[in-house]
Amino acid sequence: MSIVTGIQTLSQIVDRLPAGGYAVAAELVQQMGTIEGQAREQSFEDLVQLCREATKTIQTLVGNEQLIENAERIEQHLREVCTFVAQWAECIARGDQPVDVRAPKPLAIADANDEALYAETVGMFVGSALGALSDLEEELLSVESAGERLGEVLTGIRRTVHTLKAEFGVLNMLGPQALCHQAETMIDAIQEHGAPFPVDTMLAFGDMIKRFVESLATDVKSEFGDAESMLATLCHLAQQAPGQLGDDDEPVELRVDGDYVDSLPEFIGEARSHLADAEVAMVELSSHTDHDGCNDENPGSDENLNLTFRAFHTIKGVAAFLNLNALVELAHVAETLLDGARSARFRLAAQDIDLVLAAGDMITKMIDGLEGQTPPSRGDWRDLINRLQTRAARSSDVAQVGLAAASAEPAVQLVAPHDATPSSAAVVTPPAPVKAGQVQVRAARVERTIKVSTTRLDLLVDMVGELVIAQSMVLQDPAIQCLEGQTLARNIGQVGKITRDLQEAAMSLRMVTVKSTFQKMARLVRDVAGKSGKRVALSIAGEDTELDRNVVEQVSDPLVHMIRNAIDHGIEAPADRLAIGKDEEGQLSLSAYHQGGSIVIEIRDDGRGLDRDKVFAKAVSKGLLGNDVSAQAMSDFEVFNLIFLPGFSTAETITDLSGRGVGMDVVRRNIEALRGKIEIDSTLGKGTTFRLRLPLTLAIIDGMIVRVGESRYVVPTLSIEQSFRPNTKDVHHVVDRGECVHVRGAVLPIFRLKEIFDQPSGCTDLSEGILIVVEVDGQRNCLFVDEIIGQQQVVIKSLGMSRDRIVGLSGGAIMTDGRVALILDVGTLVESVLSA
Amino acid sequence: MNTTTDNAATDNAPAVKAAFDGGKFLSFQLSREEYGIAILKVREIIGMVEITSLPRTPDFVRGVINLRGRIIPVIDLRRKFDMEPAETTAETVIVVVDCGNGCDSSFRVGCVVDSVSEVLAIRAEDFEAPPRCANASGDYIDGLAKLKDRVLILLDIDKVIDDIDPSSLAPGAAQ
Repeated sequence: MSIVTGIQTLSQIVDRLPAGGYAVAAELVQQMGTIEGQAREQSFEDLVQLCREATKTIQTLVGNEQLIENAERIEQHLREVCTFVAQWAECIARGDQPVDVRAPKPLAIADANDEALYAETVGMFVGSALGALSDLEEELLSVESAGERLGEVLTGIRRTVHTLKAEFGVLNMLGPQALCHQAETMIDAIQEHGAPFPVDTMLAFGDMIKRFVESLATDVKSEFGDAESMLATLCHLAQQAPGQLGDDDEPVELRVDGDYVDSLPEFIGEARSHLADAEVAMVELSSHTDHDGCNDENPGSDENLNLTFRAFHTIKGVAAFLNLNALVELAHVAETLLDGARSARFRLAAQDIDLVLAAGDMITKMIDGLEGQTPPSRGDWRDLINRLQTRAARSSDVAQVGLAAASAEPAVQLVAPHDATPSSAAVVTPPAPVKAGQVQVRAARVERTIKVSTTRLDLLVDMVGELVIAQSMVLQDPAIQCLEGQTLARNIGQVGKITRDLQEAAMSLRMVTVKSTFQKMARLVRDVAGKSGKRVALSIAGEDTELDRNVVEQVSDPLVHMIRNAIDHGIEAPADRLAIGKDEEGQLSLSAYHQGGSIVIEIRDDGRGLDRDKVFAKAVSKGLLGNDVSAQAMSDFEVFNLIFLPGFSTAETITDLSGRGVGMDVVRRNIEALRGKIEIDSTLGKGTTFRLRLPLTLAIIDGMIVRVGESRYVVPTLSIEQSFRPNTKDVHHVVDRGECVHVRGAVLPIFRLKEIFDQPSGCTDLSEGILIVVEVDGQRNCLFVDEIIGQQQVVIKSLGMSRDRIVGLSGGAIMTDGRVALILDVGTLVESVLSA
Repeated sequence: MNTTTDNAATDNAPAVKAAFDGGKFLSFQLSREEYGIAILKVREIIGMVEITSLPRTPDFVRGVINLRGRIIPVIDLRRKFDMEPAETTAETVIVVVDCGNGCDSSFRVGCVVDSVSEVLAIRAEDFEAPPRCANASGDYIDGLAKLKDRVLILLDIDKVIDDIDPSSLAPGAAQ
């Protein structure tokens, strides 16, 4: 038996070990190898294992130069091994299974030295691993900007992860090794299928590993900690990749092929209008819907349901044509849900309406995505689809509904006041009894329109403006004035009239109604009321009031803020309302009307109103007011205006709806940017009214025409406080700081337009000209001009200087004589002089 | 018409002919020289009107005018090319050009010139690359066109107008 012979030889070598040193050790290893080979031939797995362990131990000790110190222990161990093998061989020779023979445990040399060595190894690893991790981070961050180099970058990332994995393996750190392995697998899957790379997840992965490595640096025996969720995420991602599904944080992919790019704008426009219609219909529908089902007796609900269904269906159709798969899928499930309701498989409950509205919102976001904004994330998209599918798949629940429907009332009702336009009445009716007549208006309100590009429109408006000027020049021509022919005079008069009508018509082309904005608010009221658990009835009036398109667009944000505020802070909770004898349901009214050449949008609630004392106290406590200000000295108006200060918020708690104290500040700024004003009326306990006073159009401003030398300038009337001819004794010169003038107790700096604009001519003596006090951003300054010519509405035009504006000028205006006057931008003008 | 001595460039360097396929040019007078602008750049020619001067702009920007309801800037080519100023005469006109510098194609500018003469068809073989010696207008010259008895300086109006594009209009950038 050769193994036995081998063992005998081995024990002879072992005898020589304590004196023999390394040479003997080498012999030992060799002999071990021989025995291992023989054992393997005869399939004695246990023996093979034992030999391998022993060899390893010796090799390690040799490598670490510890052989000599531990020679005795090794000898001991090897003798054990020999004895074991001998016994074992005996058993085999007898033909028995060597069950009762126990192999000796592998020799563990674990002294202090060894641990230090391990720590050193780990230390080296920590250094290199931290380097690798920072590389990894850099690579991950470059993924998004990689473009065509993406493949390269991903390969780099994979390599780094792989290296980490190998090093963890060497150190026998199984947890991190497994994690790295999973990450590697995931990257492979993603590369293979071209799925979007989950940068955020990988960054989190990197951070996790980094935390562990850093903890290793302080304690080599640190535990890796729980990586289950990360492991699961990576695993999930790897599985998803084949299905082209990216990470949940990645945006939904929307791409349109070259051939169809031309039809995209049209699709976007149409889809938006369909969605807007659908939203209105849904909100209306929801006003007849309680939490269980909708009221069948309402004749409008079918129509609204059909309208919404058609909207989604159309969008789906066109989107399919454009290959926008994500959009198609979403529209399809929404449609399925609606179809279920339409074919009376089940009733549309409030939560269904919420879902459909959410689907509409997401499609809107996707459309925004087509226009370059960030589309919604895949996770949200999938989530919504799942929810829609679940709802659509439910079986008939018609039977259960009837009873509950009768008792419940809608959370939000849209009640049109009697003086409102007929179309707004369409948004009405409590569940029952139904006033049938009010609902049918909807179908009739479609107006025929064509789409015209705004540049063409502007061109038309420009030309009409020019026509008006030319007409007045002709009229004022002396040759015409002294004509005596009556017919000619009449004809000229006629031309004048037509010109004015034409101008009016041209201006009206830019005007749009506030209807769409108000409709959005109806939706908002529904959402906010639902979230804050309040019951609110919104009434809308004057939604056909027209405003310049730009104004309408920009007034939407401030309105959202104010309506949120009104519901969240203004209107009390139902129980509180009952307690103070108010109707459980809060009333919110939104109306628009003309007043004195401007448009007023009014938001009125019947909530708790502003508490004058509270507002004042709050302002003082927030340090927004000086200590010397007394509450009595301020008018209500002034006190209420404090809520527009930045950092002001009276809400006790901050909710996700409002209360962070930025809202009203933003509102005021937005409105002022539109050259509008905002007013507050409030009675404690009775409610608050906000009035936004807006200009009809942004293109026209009220201006004061002033003359400086030969030139005329337009100063926006809004920024003018007063004008006066200064008294020489009120004017002071401050060294290096220019001139100042005393105006009613205040000392204001003087800016001479003549000097700022390098005019060759014009007054230099202050007492011969006029000082105009202008206020911008709370700062008052005086502009010195030769004279004030008059006040006039002017159309603001660009100076044609392509992109940049000239500092201090906001544009030009064409005067009645056809010449150009420059419009001052007082803010930047003053600023530029001060900074010069 | 008189040809000028310095720009006629007798010692023309080996002409590096730019790609030029010929075309029609509007010729106009500036000081004693005759210039040409590609006719496709020219939108219209209007008589002198009152110009509202624009503060804080380079001195060659005369100001802005009202062109049928649209405000456009007007530059003075004499001032631009450092020539002595001239009195406005009955012949002085504003040539309105559309500058298409790629990104902003609708940049429309008026150029004050002494007078306009005619529209000339220039053949490719009459074209010469610009002389190496050039006055202030040198940077803006596309080339020269040899006519029977005179030389026409062909202006690259885009380059001239590029100069009054935004950055140079910032305060303090005046020449």
